[in-house]
Order: sequence, then structure tokens, then C-alpha cells
Amino acid sequence: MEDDEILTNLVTELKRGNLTLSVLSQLKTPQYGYSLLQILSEKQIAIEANTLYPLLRRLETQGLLESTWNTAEPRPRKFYRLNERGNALYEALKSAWTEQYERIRVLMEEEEHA
Amino acid sequence: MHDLIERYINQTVKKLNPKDREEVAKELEANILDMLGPNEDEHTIEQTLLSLGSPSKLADTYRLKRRYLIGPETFDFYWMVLRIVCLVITIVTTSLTLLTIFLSPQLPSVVDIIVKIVTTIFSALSASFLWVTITFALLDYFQVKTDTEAWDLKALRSLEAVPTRLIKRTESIVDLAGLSVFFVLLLAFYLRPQLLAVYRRGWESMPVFITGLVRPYLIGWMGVTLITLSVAVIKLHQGNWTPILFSLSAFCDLLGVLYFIFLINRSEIYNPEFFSIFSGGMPTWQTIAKAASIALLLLTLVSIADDAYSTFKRTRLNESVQAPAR
Repeated sequence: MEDDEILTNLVTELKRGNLTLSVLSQLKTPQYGYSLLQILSEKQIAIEANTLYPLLRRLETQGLLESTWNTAEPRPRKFYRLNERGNALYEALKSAWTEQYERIRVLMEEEEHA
Repeated sequence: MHDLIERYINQTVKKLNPKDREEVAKELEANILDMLGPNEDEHTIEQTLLSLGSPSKLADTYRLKRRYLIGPETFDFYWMVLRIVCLVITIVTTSLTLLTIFLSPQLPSVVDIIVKIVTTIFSALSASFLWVTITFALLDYFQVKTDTEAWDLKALRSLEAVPTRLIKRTESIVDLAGLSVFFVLLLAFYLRPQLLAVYRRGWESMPVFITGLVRPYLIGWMGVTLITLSVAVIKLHQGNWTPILFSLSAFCDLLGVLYFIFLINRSEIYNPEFFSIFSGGMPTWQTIAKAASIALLLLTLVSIADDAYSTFKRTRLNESVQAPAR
């Protein structure tokens, strides 16, 4: 396997969990698929539409998001937001991520100063 | 809605669970239209749909679980079982086909024999492949765990530096094949007991047993063979001797030989005419039967003793540290 390919695979693996966390972080207020895609891309979080839409659906099936169809506008849109369970899970995931990030940061700093 | 979008969505949701289809289709449509914005021209539509990836890949991402016929956790075990089953089936069908060919009144030509063997093996192998695969696919579908190996301190300590308690795989496979051939033969004799006969040139074949009387004993023997077969499968799967496995194996060996001795000495099930082929009549046969019983029992005891030596003497648990390096 070429180095580039290995790197791409490793980065993909690294991103997988982070993407879920990023998505959950933006759903305290209701968002629909495309609006979320735009918010994330403005904030430099690269996520493909074909990853995000199924992810939203899966999170909903897992019972972490609640959804409503907004039919007030000419084009109906499905809005998602964190429900109580999803919110608790997001907070837990956030602290797990922060803790892990902090530990890895210390590791890398130690290595740099060695 | 543009025809291309509709076709794309239909193709995607077709691969999803029926209860999800309508909802996903509606949402996907809204999302695609949002992505297009005001530019609903052909080119933008094509580019947007291309960026979403192929419908089957998208449908795959929508599903919570990846679907396999045989999942990665089970695959190695499936592969092992498949190879062993195919090997055993090949040996069994070849020997049985050869046997039926040589027992048939007219010996066919070499070409016919080869064709017969190849076609029988081919159909037997296709059937075994089908059934092994179906069995594993069902196990996977119902999420039955096939990895039953315990991993605890006891298992860790019993890892050997030099695996002397190994049961040779070839031996187990030969056992399996032999037992399978034997089982099929018993079945054949059960269905047509007249095959168990003395064949002499120029004479009509003479049945050894009285048909009605020997049948129940054959059923018993098939049962014993099936038990032994199951233990052979466990031996193959486990791959090394443990005290429990040794006990099971010794029990089966003894059971088999004792059943044979019991059967061969039942004088009432023999066809009375059968004894006439010996000059001394029935007593001569009884002497032969006794001698055969003793010889067989001795051989079995030697084989059990050898297994016991492998199990208990060569390496005891926790002695792996002292075992010589290879």
C-alpha cells in the first residue's frame, strides 16, 4: 500500500468518531440535512453529503435525535435536534473526547520536548 | 421532480428496509433539492447526484449494520469446516463409488469408472458446499457465536511452548472419513442385509445373518458410530488433547469395540447355513470370533494407552517453561 493510501485510511478512521461528535454538537438547535452540511463546512469540518444524511438517519434510529417535518415553507424539510437522551450522550461523548484529546496532546508535547 | 433525481432516489431506497423507504426517499429528495439551490439545470443535477455516490453505496451507509452472508468473525471457521467437509466427502464418495463398481456384476471400462467417480464427487462436493454455506449463513443470520474458545488464566497457562498434546489434523480427518464410510456401509447393510453375505465363485451368495434379527443391532451400531463421529469432529475442532476429550475418545473406542464383540458373539442372529462353510461348524466360528474379539480389544487398549500418554505424560499443565526450545 502506498503511503498516501495508508494516510488516507488512517485519517478516515480518525475522523469517523469525530464526525458524529461534530454533528451532535450542532443539534442543540433544530437543523435539516443541508443546513447542517453548510454549517459544518463553514466551520471547516469536511463531511460529505452522502455521509451526513445517512448519519442523521442512523442517529435518529438509535433514539438520540428527534425529528419533525416543517411543511410551513414551500419545500418540506426534516429538522433534527438532540432529544434528552441524545443530549446526555453528547455531553458524555464530549468529555470522553476532551479527556482523550488532552492525554494525546500531552503525549505529543512530551515527545516534541524530548 | 426531475426524472433523474426520481430514478436515483428510487434506486437507493429500493435497497433499504421497506419500512424506511418512504421516509428516506422524502428526506433525500428535500436534501437533493436543497443542494441544487436555484440551479435546476441538467448539468448541476448530474454533478450533485454524482457527488452523492452510487445508489447502492449510499443505501449501504443508511443501514445500521453491514450485511454479510458469512461475516468476518466466522469466515476462518467456515473456511476450515468447508475444507475438511470437502476432503472427507471426497474420500467417502470415492471409496463408496469404487466399492459399488467392484461389487457390480460387470466391471465397467476405466473411462466409465473415471467418469462415474468424477461426476459423483462433483455432485457430492456441490451439495456439501451448499449445505455448509447455508448452515453458516443461518448461524450468521441468527448471530450464533461460533467462537467458543475460553480465554482465561487456565487457558493461558495451558498454552504449550512445544505442542506435544497436539492431535494431528490428518489423523482426525482420516478418522472422520473412515467413520463416515463405515456409517454409510452400515446403512447400506441395514437397507439390504442380504449384501452381508459370503460370496463364492460358482455358488450363490449366502447371507451371514438372519435379516430380521440383525437389523436392530445394525441400528445400534450406527448410533455408536455417530457418537464416535461426533467425538472425531470435536477432536478435529479442538486440536489438542485434554483430559475430558481423552475420556470421551477412550469411551467411544471402547464402546465401539465392545459393541462389535457383543454382536459377533450373538449366535442366534446368524444364518445357520453360514456355519457350514467352516469344517468344524459353529464351534470353529465361535473360536474365530473370540480370537478376533481379544485381538481387537487388545489393539484398542494399546491405542487408548497411547492417547493417554499423549494427554497426561508428555507435558503436564504449567510445565511449558521447562519444555525444550525448538
